[in-house]
Amino acid sequence: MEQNHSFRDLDPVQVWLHRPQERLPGRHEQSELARQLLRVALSSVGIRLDEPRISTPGTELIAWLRQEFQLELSITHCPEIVAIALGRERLGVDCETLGTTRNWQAIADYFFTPAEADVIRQTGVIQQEYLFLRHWTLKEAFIKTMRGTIFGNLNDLTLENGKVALITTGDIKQWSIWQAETGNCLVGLCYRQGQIGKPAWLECVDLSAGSYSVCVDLDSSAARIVC
Amino acid sequence: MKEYDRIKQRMAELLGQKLDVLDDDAALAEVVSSSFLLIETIIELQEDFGVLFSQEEFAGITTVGQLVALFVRQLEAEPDHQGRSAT
Repeated sequence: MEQNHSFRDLDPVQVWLHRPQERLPGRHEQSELARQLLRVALSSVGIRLDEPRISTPGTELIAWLRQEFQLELSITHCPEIVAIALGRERLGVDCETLGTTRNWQAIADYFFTPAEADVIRQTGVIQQEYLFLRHWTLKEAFIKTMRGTIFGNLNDLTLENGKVALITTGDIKQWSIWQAETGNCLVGLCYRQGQIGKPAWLECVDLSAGSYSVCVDLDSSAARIVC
Repeated sequence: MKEYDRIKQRMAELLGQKLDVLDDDAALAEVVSSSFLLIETIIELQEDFGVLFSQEEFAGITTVGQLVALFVRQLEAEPDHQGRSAT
């Protein structure tokens, strides 16, 4: 099923996803795939993205879309999914793949708030990665929205009992925060609540053909994180 | 071995990279396969060399050389540090 979206369909946000057939461990391959997805996403709203534009650094591409089309863009990729968020308000998206062995507790102790680190500490080892990455994807999505960095801005958004407890940069009610799961991946999304409505989750199955379908399973599993 | 060389060598081990890949001007985003690996490397380096930075001290650090220099400065300011790599 193919549909041509217009700019009005970007309200509030579109999230485009693609899951490669094989896991992509390298960031370069992930980035290449993300560019292909971006081409599909932009073509659906009538924007052509050809060479050399498609190869420009991400920051330049984002600035170009903002200046030329008043579009906001955020890109994220990990071994099992690439995702792009498009909209007209400031936004950020982040994804992570489950199934990696890391010292999640040590990272949480250093980077999260003490309360968040304690919650992760009290979780069983099996669930620790999952809980950590739920926190991480939401925090990163917010950092991207605010154009911050993980060093210093990670706790601008904190979580308590599954809800956003603090956003240090303004009124919480200005923000719409979502989390979705698909396959082995978690996706966090954050945007300024300029428009009423919920994001559209669109999965592009075949990048070469440019075909996409509404990602029905994400529609039902994507949950808004209460502020 | 100079502190600079020790830090860089340990960084290469933690990142799983050859030392010659970690040119001072190399962007961290290019030599690190994931942001988590970078974070873990920073945590391990702090343990190894007995230093502790606030997150804000890493703001603006984008290259290998900048990261190594940050550790070197701290070590030179604290000559009595006790880390796993202290000699």
